[in-house]
Amino acid sequence: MAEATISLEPKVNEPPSTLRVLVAEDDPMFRRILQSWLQTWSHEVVVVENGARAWDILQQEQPPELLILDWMMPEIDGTELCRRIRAQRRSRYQYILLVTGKNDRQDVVRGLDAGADDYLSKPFDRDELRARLRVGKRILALQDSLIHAREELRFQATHDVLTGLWNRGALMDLLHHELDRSKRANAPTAVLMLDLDHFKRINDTYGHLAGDAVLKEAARRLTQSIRSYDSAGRYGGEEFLVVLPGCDRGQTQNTAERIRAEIAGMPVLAAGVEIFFTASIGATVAEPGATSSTEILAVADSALYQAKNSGRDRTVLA
Amino acid sequence: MLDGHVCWDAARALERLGGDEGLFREIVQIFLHEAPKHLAGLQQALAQRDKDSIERIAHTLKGELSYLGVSGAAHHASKLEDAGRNGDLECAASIRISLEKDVEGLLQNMYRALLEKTSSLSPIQPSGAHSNG
Repeated sequence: MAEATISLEPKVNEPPSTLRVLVAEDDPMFRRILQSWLQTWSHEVVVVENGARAWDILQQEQPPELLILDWMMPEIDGTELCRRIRAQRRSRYQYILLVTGKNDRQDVVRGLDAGADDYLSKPFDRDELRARLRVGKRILALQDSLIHAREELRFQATHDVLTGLWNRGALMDLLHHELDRSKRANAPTAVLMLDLDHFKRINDTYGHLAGDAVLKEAARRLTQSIRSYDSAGRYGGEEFLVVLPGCDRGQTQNTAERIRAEIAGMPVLAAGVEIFFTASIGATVAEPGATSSTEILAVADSALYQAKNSGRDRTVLA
Repeated sequence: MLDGHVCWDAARALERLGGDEGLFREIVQIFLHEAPKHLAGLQQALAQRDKDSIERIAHTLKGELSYLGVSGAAHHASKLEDAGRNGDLECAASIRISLEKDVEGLLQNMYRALLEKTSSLSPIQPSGAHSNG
């Protein structure tokens, strides 16, 4: 968990060996051949007899991912379809296999230029089509792993590795956005700054692994105690920050108390012992447009300081 | 499968289909159904001097014939496609006659082959597998 690695290797189970395939072919003989083979290989097949129908199918929510398009078709031909599909720029790449007649070299060139990935000349045989589908599947798998890696990077860039909560950078962005939004919506924004009490003592007594377990459990309890549209993150070592959109002083006090009680409520089992831990919370409510994020954080921080100084395991609302 | 001027390499076609005899019979039946329409279409297109239709129908026939392993006829279809594209209607008219002869010979061959096959293989049935079209 701590060392997340990004891999571009296609995941074993993705993409599924079953592809969603669209066949657009005006000749009933080739339509039947393609359909029969693709079904034998357990692909999900949609067969249409002209380019216009194919275009309709491609407008669906989850369009087929691999397209086998005949070059010569009434209404919209294969090349025109390629061009339209590429112009659409869907987030999920669609692999296009163009089917041309024998000796239609010029057509192949034009088709590839229009956006086809590969081509197949009639008369093609079973093994050849199968091999070309494997190529398509490989490209689609590579794309899937790229998307996966991008999502993973995006997550890692904005989240704390240990707790899975937002990290400090992401929290600052969130707070900024929330203050902007609260100004427009003319609603207050509450901020809680939470610090685990005597955390150094936990680390020193039970070891760092136990300390990590406490941090993770605190994060879990914190997340459990807030609404889905509130944001919680790890601000620093044992310090957490919570942004509560639209909360007035009463609601803020209640939420902070709920979190504090949840954290202090029961021990966590780590290093073979039950470890009790508590948290102090500094809270503040900013009126819409009243202050900057820096000022709000400063106010919450000094409220936290007060909570610490007046005995810990408590909330101070500034 | 040799019959006069038409050479049909059915074995090669079957091989392309991965040896799937059921599918082979299906596509032969589709061809038997489609080819007369193509021939009639060609005749009409020539009568109307419609070069685009000549090119398109010849292209379709070229694909089907070469798939079925009838290379001589496929060659004629290819020439006819060129003639259509170039608007050479006189040339197209004479190629059409050869092509029609080829295809008619082939259709006879196919009927015979299907009848022969029925004695040794399971009977040919109208394909029920034309599901989601």
